[in-house]
Amino acid sequence: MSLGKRELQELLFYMILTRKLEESLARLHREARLSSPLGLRSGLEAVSVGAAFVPTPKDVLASSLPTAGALLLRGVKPIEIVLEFLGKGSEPTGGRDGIRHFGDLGRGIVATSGHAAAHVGVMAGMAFAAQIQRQDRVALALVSDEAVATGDFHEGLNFAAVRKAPLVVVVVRFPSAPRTGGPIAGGEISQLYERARGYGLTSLPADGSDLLQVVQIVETAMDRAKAGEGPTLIEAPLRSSTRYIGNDDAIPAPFGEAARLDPTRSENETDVDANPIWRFERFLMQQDWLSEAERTAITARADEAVSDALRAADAAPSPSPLHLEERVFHRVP
Amino acid sequence: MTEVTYLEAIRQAMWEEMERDPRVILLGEDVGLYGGAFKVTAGFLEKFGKDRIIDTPISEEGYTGVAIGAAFNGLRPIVEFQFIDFIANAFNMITNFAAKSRYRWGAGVPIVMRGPAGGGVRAGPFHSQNPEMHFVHTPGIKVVAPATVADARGLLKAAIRDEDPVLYLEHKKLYRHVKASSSEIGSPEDVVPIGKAMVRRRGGDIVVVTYSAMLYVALEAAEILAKEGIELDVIDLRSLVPLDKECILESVRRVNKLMILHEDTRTGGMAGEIAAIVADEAFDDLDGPILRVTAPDTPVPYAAALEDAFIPRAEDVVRAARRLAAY
Repeated sequence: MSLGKRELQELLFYMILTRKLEESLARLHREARLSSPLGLRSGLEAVSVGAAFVPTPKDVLASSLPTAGALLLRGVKPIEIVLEFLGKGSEPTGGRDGIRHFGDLGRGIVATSGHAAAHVGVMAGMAFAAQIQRQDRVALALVSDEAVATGDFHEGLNFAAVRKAPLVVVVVRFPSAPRTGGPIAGGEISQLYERARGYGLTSLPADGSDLLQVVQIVETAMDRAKAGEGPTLIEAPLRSSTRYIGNDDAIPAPFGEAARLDPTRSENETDVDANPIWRFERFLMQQDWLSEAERTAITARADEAVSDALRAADAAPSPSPLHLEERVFHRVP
Repeated sequence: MTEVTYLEAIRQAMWEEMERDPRVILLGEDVGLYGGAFKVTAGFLEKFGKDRIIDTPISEEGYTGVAIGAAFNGLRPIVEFQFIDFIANAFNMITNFAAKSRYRWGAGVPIVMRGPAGGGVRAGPFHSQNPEMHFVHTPGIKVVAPATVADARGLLKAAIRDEDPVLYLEHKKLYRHVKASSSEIGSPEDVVPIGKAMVRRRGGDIVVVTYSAMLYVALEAAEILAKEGIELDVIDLRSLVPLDKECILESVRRVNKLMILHEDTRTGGMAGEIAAIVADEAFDDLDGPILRVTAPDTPVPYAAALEDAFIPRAEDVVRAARRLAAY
């Protein structure tokens, strides 16, 4: 995929928008305006934005990653995401499920079910159906590394492998296990992507902090899928990731207000490499594809988008209990 | 005139619906090359090909997920569980994905989940269960349990054409024991609507509400009781979700005494739910206690002597009816 300056800057915009939006949601949580757990993590911007950038509108995506980045790339507006978190969602959810389980088939987004990898099997089914219907469609599933401990992960991958279904699974490996992750057998001695060999699958590693590498690897996998070469498992390790709301209920310092989004304030190269936004900014600046003025403008645009969303969300109504019992079935029995 | 079995009716329904609608596919263990554990799908692979008849790995959760995804992609999958007992392995996918998708994000899941349920064939605790209440209790899933050949065919057609997930419970003991003439089961276009019960026998003394294979136990008991002057009104529910409350209430208001009969175990069974509905909506019409005749709260045992004691028999219904008739 050959990307021009304009597209690259747009990708940067979406990474910054993701970060800004999620920082704002963390603030809402700190102000007790969100009643549910936030369940978001920083540091996933390269994976979520990069992976979701590759699919065409015909392709389908499902993500259980603790970030909204992929949704933004599929055309979900910041206001919709804020409303979902506030329990004020309009169609298609109507406030019935607000936490990271957003779906809209019209935009090629399949909602996950709340468990780590149930959507791997479902996306295998979408891929399989597309295959037998001779559709030029790939199903892309994004999961956290905790998913590899589930039966769903294995059963879904196994089916996709048997049928050579056009499925791409991206496993994000966190530097430390997510809250519910716990130990993963063999995780200490082997990379997760190596497990794909056991299914006869192609497997590829991608640096999860490097947006362009994620784009390139996901594109390779999707091209393979479209060529009828079957599923691919991608492992994308992160160098750093922090919950927005931790035990101390504070926005984590490395990505907090003080150090936000400014590569010039980084102490060393390691910090920059670990922060997907800084890293991509540095790359663009080194290539003379991003000026300081452009970076400021992109950041301001993201700020404005988030502010607009928050303002509109305040004014939005909560769903009416009159609709509580609607839409359990296609027709009311 | 050709005689059609309950099993053949299921086969016909799927065959005809697959001919009618190219979106219908069938997934399950051994449904293709082997033709199904009970040979329900013999000849399907040759007729419809491997894209539509899919032999799956032994992974109920996995292939139920695949069916849900295929439904999102515009297909209308039928999932066959080799024995319905193994639906337990797909519980998360059914209850958390299929059942809730329409409600929480507007994505319908038009899949049929079917498989042999019930006991009486000496198949023991893992090949004889009646798991309906797990799913009756899950909003978003329709549940049907045909007793007759015509309903086996017509309800399966309705389930395949339905826009929601439908659990279709076929009783394995009925597969080859229940037969009907081809004229009785109607034409390929005859569909039995989901959610409509049927009064199988009219009587004025006691209403027996039942479903699936227990229909025949109720009818057998009705013959015995008729000789004693006790007339049973026998309702075959056919659908558990949605439940035809009106049919039940109409009979209760007319007959005034109610017994519920099912092969499923007692606690948390369909009988309790129906009893609660009738107590709530027709209490003044009752002239006696609501009685339940059910299996006891145990797993389904293997030994013939134990299984015979487990599954309700006509004599159990007769005994309960005599007690109720005394009120």
